[in-house]
Amino acid sequence: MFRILVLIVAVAGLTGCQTLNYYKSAHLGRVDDSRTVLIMPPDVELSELSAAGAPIPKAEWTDQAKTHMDKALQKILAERRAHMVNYQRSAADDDPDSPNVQLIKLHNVVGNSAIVHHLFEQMKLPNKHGKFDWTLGDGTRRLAHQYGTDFALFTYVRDSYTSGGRALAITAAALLGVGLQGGRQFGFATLVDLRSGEIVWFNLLARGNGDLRQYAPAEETVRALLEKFPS
Amino acid sequence: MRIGARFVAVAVCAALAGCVMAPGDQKPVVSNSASAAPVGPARLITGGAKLKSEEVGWETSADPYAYQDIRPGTRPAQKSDEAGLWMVMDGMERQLRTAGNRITDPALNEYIQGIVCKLAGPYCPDIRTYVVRAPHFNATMMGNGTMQVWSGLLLRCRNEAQLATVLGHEIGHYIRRHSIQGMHDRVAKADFLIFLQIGLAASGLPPGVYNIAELVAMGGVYAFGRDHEREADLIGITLLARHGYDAREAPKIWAQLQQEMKANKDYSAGSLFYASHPPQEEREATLTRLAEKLQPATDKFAKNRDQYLAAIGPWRNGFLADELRLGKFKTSQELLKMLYADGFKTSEVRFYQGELHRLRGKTPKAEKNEDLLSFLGAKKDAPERNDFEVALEYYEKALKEPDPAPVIYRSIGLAQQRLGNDDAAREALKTYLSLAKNPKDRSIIEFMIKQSS
Repeated sequence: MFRILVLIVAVAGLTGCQTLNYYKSAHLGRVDDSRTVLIMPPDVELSELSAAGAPIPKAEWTDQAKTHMDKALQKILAERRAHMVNYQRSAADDDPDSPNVQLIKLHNVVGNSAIVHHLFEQMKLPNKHGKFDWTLGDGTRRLAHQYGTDFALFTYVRDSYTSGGRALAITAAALLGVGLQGGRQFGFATLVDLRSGEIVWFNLLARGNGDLRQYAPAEETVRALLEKFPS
Repeated sequence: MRIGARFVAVAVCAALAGCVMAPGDQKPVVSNSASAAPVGPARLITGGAKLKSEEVGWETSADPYAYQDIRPGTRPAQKSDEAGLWMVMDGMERQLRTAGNRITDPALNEYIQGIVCKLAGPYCPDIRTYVVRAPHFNATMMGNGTMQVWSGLLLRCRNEAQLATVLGHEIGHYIRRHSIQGMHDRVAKADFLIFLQIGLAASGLPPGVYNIAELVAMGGVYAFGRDHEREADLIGITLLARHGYDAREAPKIWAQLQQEMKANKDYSAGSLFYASHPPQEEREATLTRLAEKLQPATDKFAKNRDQYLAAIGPWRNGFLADELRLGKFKTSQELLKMLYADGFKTSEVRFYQGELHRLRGKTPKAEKNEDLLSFLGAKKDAPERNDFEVALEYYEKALKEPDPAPVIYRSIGLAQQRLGNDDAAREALKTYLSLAKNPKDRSIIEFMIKQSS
């Protein structure tokens, strides 16, 4: 959690619109009838920036965003000739020993490590030799069996919006020649091959525009999030 | 002209500040700042106890946001800031539910949730209690009703009444919606500051004015938080008395904690200005005064010591081992002394006294490194005797007690090893393996035996 916050702050400092894309394969699936993607519960939070820039979490916007993202994912995956199956939370997910919960937690750690060690020049790992080479291990096979899918898509989005107060502060500061930051989108998506556990596609989204509260711009955001998604 | 410009800038700034100080989606309600006593449904469970601020003995905070108590069985409206806060906390609760250090043992959880339900009454279903293995004196409440009880608290409470004091305090945070109050306060003050900063920059006033304003606002945020703690203390002790617990146990937890903290000579209470909680001395004094008001001095009120020890008993040794691993030997020593005086089993106190020495592992020879230590800022506190030798003496005493635990032999083995007595170490480790039932560390101990032979 803390690492993600640090990351958001660090990425927010990068200029302009930033998308980073890593992928191993441009194509999904080995046989046509197995092109099914398991959609893991999206980790999404929308917030409004107070005048001073503190993110105030917004429950209603987040609910809307989740609905829009789900619909957009369905549409975009269908265009890529893939089907989606939604991960179903169950009572077993409240058990600390649940393998699925452990896998989701493992993905958080591996995903964050991947961002840190690829995005920042100083943090690059010499033994990776510039290759994008990350895996969750073959424990992912359990999910493949449970849902009959070959891939799982994990998404993480933190999306903030400029409030009236923030807009006023930005305008007033601009008159004095000082630039203050408005709302931003930060997110990443990973596609995991459930048979090997490898991350086969990864995309980072960090930009100062986009809107998840309405369907049309939300679809645009999901398209940006899924840029160069294997077809 | 110039003065005019300044005035406009300051006035604009003040107007902006006034506007952003008012939380957006909260309807103004009649302020309750005249009294520190819980209002609204909190009285459902505190029995309408309404104490005036002069009785409570502290300055009551102004309550600029005028929050009513949360009602039992409700969630905040989806459009509100509070719902946003709950959303984030729901996510944190999901993480907590599957956290590796959570204690899921049904007996312990039922016991603690039972006390919570008794105290919280109609709020019982709204508060979910998680027992967490964390060796510090603490319990926490998130705005959505997620309560954490840390194992370090369970180790330190002497009876159910003391535990209930803390549980009631946390319930108070929930009912009074301190999370959202705190968030609105921090946001309002930060918003005020940014416009002040812009206004001052525009007016050309010296930046020092801003620094002072920032300091005042920061101090205000902490002071507001301390007032919440005082309010929660009041609700906690009111619930305690109302449910027949001995309210005189409430101040004792703060006295006990002070005794423990002061065992470390380097202990300092930290800055009063930035403190998140009122000083322990103040809390002890206030709770003592409140207990006298709430209950006549008789023995008829419940401490439920036996019930408490029965529930915590199976866990206490593990909690004490966690405490020693923190490496805070001065305060741990004091805690051990207090637990011994309180009737903790002699055999176990001897064993853990030995463990304290073994884990500290200091030797008189450490003086050699004194130049380096003083360079690094460490204090000279080499003991007169080798800690491992002292540890062995305690283990021997523990072995003479009835029904000694096999783990004592493991510690003897480890201490002997550090003293270079390989044969004695091997012997003790072998005894440990022969006596322990399915020890989890069997392979590492076998490896150690093999290594030293």
